Amino acid sequence: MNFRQHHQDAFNKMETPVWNRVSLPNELFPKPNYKVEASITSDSDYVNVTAFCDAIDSDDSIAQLEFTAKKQLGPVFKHYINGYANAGYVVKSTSKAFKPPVVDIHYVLGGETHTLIDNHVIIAEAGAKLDVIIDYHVEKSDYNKSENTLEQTAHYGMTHIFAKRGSRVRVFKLQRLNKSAYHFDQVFASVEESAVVDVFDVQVGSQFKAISHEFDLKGRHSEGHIKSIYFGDQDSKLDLSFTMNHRGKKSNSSILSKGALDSNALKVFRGNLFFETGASQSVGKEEEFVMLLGDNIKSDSIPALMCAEDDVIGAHAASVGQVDLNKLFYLMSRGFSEIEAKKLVIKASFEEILSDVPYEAFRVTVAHEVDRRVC
Amino acid sequence: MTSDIIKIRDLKSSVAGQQILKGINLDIKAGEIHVIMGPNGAGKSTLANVLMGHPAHTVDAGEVTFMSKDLLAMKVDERAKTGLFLSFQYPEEVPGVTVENFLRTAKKEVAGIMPMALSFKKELQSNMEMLNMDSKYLERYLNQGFSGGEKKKNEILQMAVLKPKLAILDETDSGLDIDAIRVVYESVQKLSSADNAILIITHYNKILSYITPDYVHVLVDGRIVRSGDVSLAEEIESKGYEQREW
Repeated sequence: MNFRQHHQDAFNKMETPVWNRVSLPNELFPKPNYKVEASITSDSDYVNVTAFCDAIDSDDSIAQLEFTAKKQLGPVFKHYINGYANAGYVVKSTSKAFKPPVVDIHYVLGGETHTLIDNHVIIAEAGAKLDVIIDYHVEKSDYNKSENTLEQTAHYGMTHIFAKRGSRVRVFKLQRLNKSAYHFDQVFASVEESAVVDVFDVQVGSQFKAISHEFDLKGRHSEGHIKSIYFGDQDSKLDLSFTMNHRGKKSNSSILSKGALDSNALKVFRGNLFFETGASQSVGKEEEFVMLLGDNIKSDSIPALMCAEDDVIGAHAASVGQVDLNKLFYLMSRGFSEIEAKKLVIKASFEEILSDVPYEAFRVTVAHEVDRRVC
Repeated sequence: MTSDIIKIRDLKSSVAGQQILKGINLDIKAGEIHVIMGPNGAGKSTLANVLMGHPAHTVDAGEVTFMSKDLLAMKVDERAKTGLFLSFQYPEEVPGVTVENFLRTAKKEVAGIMPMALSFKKELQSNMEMLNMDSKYLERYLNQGFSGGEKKKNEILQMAVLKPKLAILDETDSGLDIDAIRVVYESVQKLSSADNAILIITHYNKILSYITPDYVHVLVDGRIVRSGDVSLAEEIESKGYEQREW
């Protein structure tokens, strides 16, 4: 039985899951009968890009992909994405150049493309570097259309990252779908000795977004960092889960999340740090900062530190607060309207993360999206 | 005839239920420089914040006419667009926005049109020279990582760019070394013209070596208890606030 058929069978035997904190929307898991082509560019000869569906047939190591995640969106999502993926790429880098090669992937939802199910595998061979940008967006012509006139769109995605010994991988994810879209995305990173993986996750679109990223820091001196930005529109729902499994000695991790929530938004943030046996002298920290822009917002922050090893350092911090009134006052005293001042304050709060993104176009796009969506 | 910039009548305000301003009366005309002095807790910064419209302050009574308009009915940004400027005692940091972009956008908000990039930059550089500021500050994020003195100079740079009708300087001298005080207040004096007015709030009269006010007011316990010329500041310097019966 092939990879797709195996997962389709497993999926079809399962029931639609029920989530307690953030209830799932209806009409999930459509089965599209079309493929979605991304706009993809690569700037290096040392990077190999193959469509996921082709790699599955030709690359046994890909077909045997299995990942034992502690936290994830659930087996239903895994089997659905593996079984019905209509997009995705396998990206392999052997580049050891000082400047990392960049693979830039854009998916456009809208028009005839209502459902995107993408499966990505990102591999950095020993000592290699790789930057991957994945941008989910809509046609510009849809920007000003009323949400009521747009078809319901949904994205279901899964990205596996394999960072081999001494490699360096950075993944920049930007989700800026329509307000009415659903977005489910998970990243699993396997980090070997002295390898470093950074995931920048920016969520500014879609009314329902569920994110689950999990790192397996299995090598000595392995490092994993998640930097997350989110904007929860009015009435939107967000379920964010970020997990670091420290298994290697002297491994290092950080989770930093900055968010802004508008009226009636519901958000759950889960930050999990696991220190397994053998992860001695490891350090992990998680921080979440949320800015409340309106009324009737429910924001749950659930940090967890689980230690099976004595000699580790784990830290967490979370803060929730209204927009800084003094900052708003300062900006308004210079002629900025309240809404413009609010946008500047939100962008200033995101800046701590965005300043680490080396791609100006990415940063500018995020700023434009904040300008477009905050009202 | 000298035109009125601001007329304050019996202004009373409170914060968290506690009355701070207890009836302020003050007229400022174009071309004038006023200094308000007073002890700690007298209400000097409160007056500045109430005039600019800080949301933490409630106006309980009084009228303020600014440029022939009802100031108290305006939102904060409308006050700025009408020509009111406050140099903050503690300027806020805004990461992600460079000084140059901030100034250019603020100028657009206040003036209504985006200034031409080249001429704007030229004017900026000239103002920065006056304030003895390195042009590298233009590329830095607004007030982020600035020293106290740099922040205050940046406030005066904003004043120079926005060209307000009334600039209120709230203890701009605090945190400045003696050289910076000279540079800042000599610049403020240069920015004073027949079309605008300046209201300086300060504890000390050391700034008077560099700027010549037309009027000095003493604010104690939420009221202006005495007004006079620059000799009043000298009197306060020698006798202090507490040993006097106002």
